[in-house]
Amino acid sequence: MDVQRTDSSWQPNASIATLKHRAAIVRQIREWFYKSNILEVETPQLVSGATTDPHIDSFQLPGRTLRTSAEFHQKRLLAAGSGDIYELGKVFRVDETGRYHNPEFTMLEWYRGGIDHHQLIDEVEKFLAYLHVTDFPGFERISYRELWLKTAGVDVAANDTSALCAFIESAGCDVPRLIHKDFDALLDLGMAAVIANCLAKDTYTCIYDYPESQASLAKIDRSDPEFPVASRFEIYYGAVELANGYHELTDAAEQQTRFEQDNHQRKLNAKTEMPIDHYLIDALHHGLPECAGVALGFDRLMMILLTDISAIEQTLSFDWLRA
Amino acid sequence: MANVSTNEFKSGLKIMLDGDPYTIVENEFVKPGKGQAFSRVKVRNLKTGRTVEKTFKSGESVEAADVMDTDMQYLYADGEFWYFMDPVSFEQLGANESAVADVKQWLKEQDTCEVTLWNGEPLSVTLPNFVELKITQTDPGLKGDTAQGGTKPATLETGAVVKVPLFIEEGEVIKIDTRTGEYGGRVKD
Repeated sequence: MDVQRTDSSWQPNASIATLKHRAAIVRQIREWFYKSNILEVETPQLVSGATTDPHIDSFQLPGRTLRTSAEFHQKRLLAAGSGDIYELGKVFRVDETGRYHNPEFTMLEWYRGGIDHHQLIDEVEKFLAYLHVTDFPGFERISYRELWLKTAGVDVAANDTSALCAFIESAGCDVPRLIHKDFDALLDLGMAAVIANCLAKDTYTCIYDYPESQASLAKIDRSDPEFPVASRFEIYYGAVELANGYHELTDAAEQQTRFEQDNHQRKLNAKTEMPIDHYLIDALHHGLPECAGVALGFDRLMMILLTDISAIEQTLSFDWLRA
Repeated sequence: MANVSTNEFKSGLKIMLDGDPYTIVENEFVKPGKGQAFSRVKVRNLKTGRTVEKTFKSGESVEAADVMDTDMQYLYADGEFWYFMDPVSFEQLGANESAVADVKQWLKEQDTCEVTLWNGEPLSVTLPNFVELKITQTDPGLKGDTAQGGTKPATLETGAVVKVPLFIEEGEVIKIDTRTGEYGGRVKD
């Protein structure tokens, strides 16, 4: 990317006042986890087994890869008997630049044993309420399927790509021809470009129970045989995605299959296949306790908690272009 | 022309869409954390000036448009074409009426303009925000009337007619805001 250097580009993106605010919030967060008896951990940023997620690209270095989340290492700690843990640290994703994206960003990720995703959602709500102190903006919950029915009039259980296309186009967003038959890509575009903008402004919305095809590392709930769902949730603030959580998959064989499917998808998309994290698979074989986990974009949380912030770079000491 | 990928998109980049050259006005990166990424761009058609929104899947490529902006000197018009000269190579190019539609009434011989070339042909001509032109005809003003108030028509050396304050006189040089076509002040000697 071209860097246009001006006389003031040496200066930080965030104001010094914002950086002080940021530091104060970090301190509050550590306090909250300390009081909740959740252990702070640090895991490596330079890792041997990278994410295989077909839509996330890792920075690759000789022999190691920069992590895109702390998930795999945290699960290895859980399997080793750490009990509840959290990490506040940097993660890295290639080419993610925009008003809400910086390729290097800070993620807050935590895991709780013995609970499912709904109980973790309750905890995330309490955590956010703690940070907002007296003016908590509100927290609504809706399932992914209900949200689409309510906002788009489309039943995602019907797997109907032409209905999705029609809805997205009727909302004024053109659909690239390449994805007309790609159900998940249509869900992603519809969600990011249309549905998210219809969520209640200035309040949190928790969307839970995603289609099975969007399970990522969540357990599948097959209680409705017609429409199995991933035990996954996302938290939005207005139209901005803030956090993503799972009732975690603990089945090693299933995990191995999902990694292989991801790599197959990467190959179809002409992307490099990524080395599977065998340490994680071994940890799952040993036994990952039943748990739920969530990862939250800390810089985006700053955008919500601080006033007068309109772009992620205003929360960062130095963004990608000034780094 | 080379192809450009969506991760090189930025405002000002010129691309080809459906056979027409466009400039990117705004580029928004959208991506659910666990899903596919898209670029939603606002693009302006350089031929029609119309702005539309387009969505691209991340990693998709489009053809770059061979569009460049160059400073040229306006020479003359022959009724069909407006001729411009490259001050370095002395090469002359004729621009058709649609390319000069927005600026033709302010074009004065030997003035320098920015000519946007597409595949070497003039696509549009842009003038500085302010140009200085001489008044060739206007009714005599009222002496001492420098306060705000009335205006009167004045014909400029290019033939354009603009509204000027009453105190402006024939033979004076005035500034014109080319974006609005309005009087922008007197030019003092």
